[in-house]
Amino acid sequence: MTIERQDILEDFYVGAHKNIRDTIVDVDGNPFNLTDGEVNFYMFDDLTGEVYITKSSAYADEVLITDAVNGVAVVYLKPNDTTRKHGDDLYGTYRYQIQAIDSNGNSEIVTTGKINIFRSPSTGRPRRDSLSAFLSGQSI
Amino acid sequence: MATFTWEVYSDTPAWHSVSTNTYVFSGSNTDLNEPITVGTWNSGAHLGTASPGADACGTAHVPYVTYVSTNNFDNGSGSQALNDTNLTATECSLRVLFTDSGSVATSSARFYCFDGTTAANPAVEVEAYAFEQGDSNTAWVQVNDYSGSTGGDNNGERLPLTDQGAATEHTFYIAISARPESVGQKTEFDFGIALTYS
Repeated sequence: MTIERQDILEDFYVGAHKNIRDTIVDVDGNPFNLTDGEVNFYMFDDLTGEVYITKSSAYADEVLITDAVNGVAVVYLKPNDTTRKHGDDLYGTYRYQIQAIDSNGNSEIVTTGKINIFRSPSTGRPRRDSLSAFLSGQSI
Repeated sequence: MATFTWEVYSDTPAWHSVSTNTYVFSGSNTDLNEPITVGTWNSGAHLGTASPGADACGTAHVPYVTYVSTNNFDNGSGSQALNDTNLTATECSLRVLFTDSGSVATSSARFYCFDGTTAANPAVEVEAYAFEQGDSNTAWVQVNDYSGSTGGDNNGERLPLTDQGAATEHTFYIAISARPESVGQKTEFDFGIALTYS
């Protein structure tokens, strides 16, 4: 069963970490058993369909199934998912989908919604340092 | 942990950390105690143990670079066009290393001159120009002009440094030339570097 309109409209900025915890249910509203299954995440442009971010539980640092029997997974968005060179950072409103695949290979879009990413002036960590200098002036 | 290391090409010669020493501009490439005549540019550069203290350059002195005009410099063989070919990395005044245990990219990096207390304030009674080597530049950038209220970590009054891609070590090669605006010792005079990494 697809849980619609699970919008993430606040608290997400370019260059930030964002963990999306999803509890997936089946058509009867019961927990989706993810044992030996897979969870995938897609973020894309709603108009053009262009996909900007993909994540899979095939890689534990991308999507981690934390409670397979109860259908719980966490998607890890990282700073370099939304930062791009030349000022082409990903900000604005996109759509995301979470796909679950059970142990028999049956796949379903289980969660969808909008995701809003705010621009951030500080996508990194500022550092500074100094060095003492000296000179002495004499008259002409 | 992210760290900066200021280095000069001296002694053996090789790149050595400035450590707690002071970067000294002088009127001689062999004597750090030689003052610079007001209105003329440095013709020597050294490490001093204080201001100026004892010479800490080692066998070979720190290479000096003298401002001649917007697009020219002199480091001992007459005026030359300022570019990466004529002014090599090891002829620069400083190499600043930025290292981190992780592979990081740098952005918004800049080099500036300030009074040693407030990053936005110019160094006192000093004029200075800086140049980033290795980025196809051909002109000096004025980073301090105390009498003209220029200097400090302010847009248009500092040297922007090139963004660098992901790596555990980043190097910035910088040439600097300075001159006094008045007679006497100039100690409210520091260099700063700032950047953002991710």
